Amino acid sequence: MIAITFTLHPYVGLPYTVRSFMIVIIAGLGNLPGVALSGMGLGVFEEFADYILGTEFRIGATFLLLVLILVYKRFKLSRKREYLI
Amino acid sequence: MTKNRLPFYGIILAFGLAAPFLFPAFKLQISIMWILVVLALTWDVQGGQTGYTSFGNIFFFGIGMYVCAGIQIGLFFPLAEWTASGGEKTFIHAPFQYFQGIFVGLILAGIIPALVAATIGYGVLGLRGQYFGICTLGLGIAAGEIAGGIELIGAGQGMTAPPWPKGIGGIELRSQFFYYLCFILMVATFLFLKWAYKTRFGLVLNAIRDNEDKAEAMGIHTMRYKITGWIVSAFFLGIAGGLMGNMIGYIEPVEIAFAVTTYGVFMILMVMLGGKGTLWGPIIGAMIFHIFKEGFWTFFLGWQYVALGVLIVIIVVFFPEGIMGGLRERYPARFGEVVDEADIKAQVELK
Repeated sequence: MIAITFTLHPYVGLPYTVRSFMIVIIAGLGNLPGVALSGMGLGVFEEFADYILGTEFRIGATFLLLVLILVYKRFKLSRKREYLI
Repeated sequence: MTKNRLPFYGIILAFGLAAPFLFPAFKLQISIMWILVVLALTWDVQGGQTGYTSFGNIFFFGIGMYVCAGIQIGLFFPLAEWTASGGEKTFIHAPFQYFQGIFVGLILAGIIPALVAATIGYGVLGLRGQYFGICTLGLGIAAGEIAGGIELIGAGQGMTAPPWPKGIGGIELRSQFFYYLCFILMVATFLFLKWAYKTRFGLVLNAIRDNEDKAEAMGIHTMRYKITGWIVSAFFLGIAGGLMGNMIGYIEPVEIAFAVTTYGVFMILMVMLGGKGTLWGPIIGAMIFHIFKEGFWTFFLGWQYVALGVLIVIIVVFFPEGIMGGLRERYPARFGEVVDEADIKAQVELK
């Protein structure tokens, strides 16, 4: 589907890998309805980032969101002295 | 022990000092080799000694590169006009301005990444295992993409570092100047880390690698030590980045400055090849890796990444512990480990 819609080059893979990883991290491992919801949420976020920040920051915003989510989860868990493992 | 090694250090120092005159054609390659040694040594502070597999240390390399070039230009000329003019050199540095700029630029290229590492360290270093790797990978790629969107530093088309000033020797002097800066940086990084690993700092990093929870339970503020380790890495990586940017002369966000998929991965491979968690491993690994890499680029052009991939597979299959790790397993007495002969005999009998 992506090959039909966009141009294809050897480096298309990485942003999609990160997106799928992010979606699963946000939803929680093994949470199928959550994955569907967070996938849609990421799509909306990307389009808004595209619109508000500009197209050049689209991938950057996605990767930065990944970092922010991981750091946010780390602070939330560290109150209970637990770790993301 | 130290007396035996003195001639060895002497040989390396003599080689480093004489190399630009012995191999004038390979001056740039040897200077890049010293930079790669610095990258491997600083990655080993996280990956080998602390056990935190970081994929994003190249982040500080890129910051250092941009900060150094930006300050060299911004001290004397408006930065926005410089980057807007692209490759055309509208402004020309006088010799004194050039050296003043590179001095201030290299110092700040070390300090600003160190400050960035101190700021983000508390959040990022609290993650563990794969999550730390993924988070740092995201950081590196995000930095590259964002730097590609900022107009002031040239956006996607990149910016040129200041050219060598006219009137004080030609291109030969320039490459010698940068060669010696790279060599001095490598020696300084090596000596600093050699000293740091001997102190309590190095012991705490190894304790974190072995069992972080236990180290914390013993009353060590592990977070402080991890952040300090990251600051050390960021400082030397930033200076290395500043030098690299000036040496290449052209800074491009994704391919050169925040090159996660090339130099960011190479620095891990070099340490893997040489042996994680040893002082000499990264140095030997970086030298061998650089020689192989340049050989592939010369003799297998077009297939260079395939050849590099085969090399990586060979490294992982045949040297799982790296060169120094393999040597350490074979000759433990040479590495200062206590060898119990009776124990070894007992093990043989058990088999």
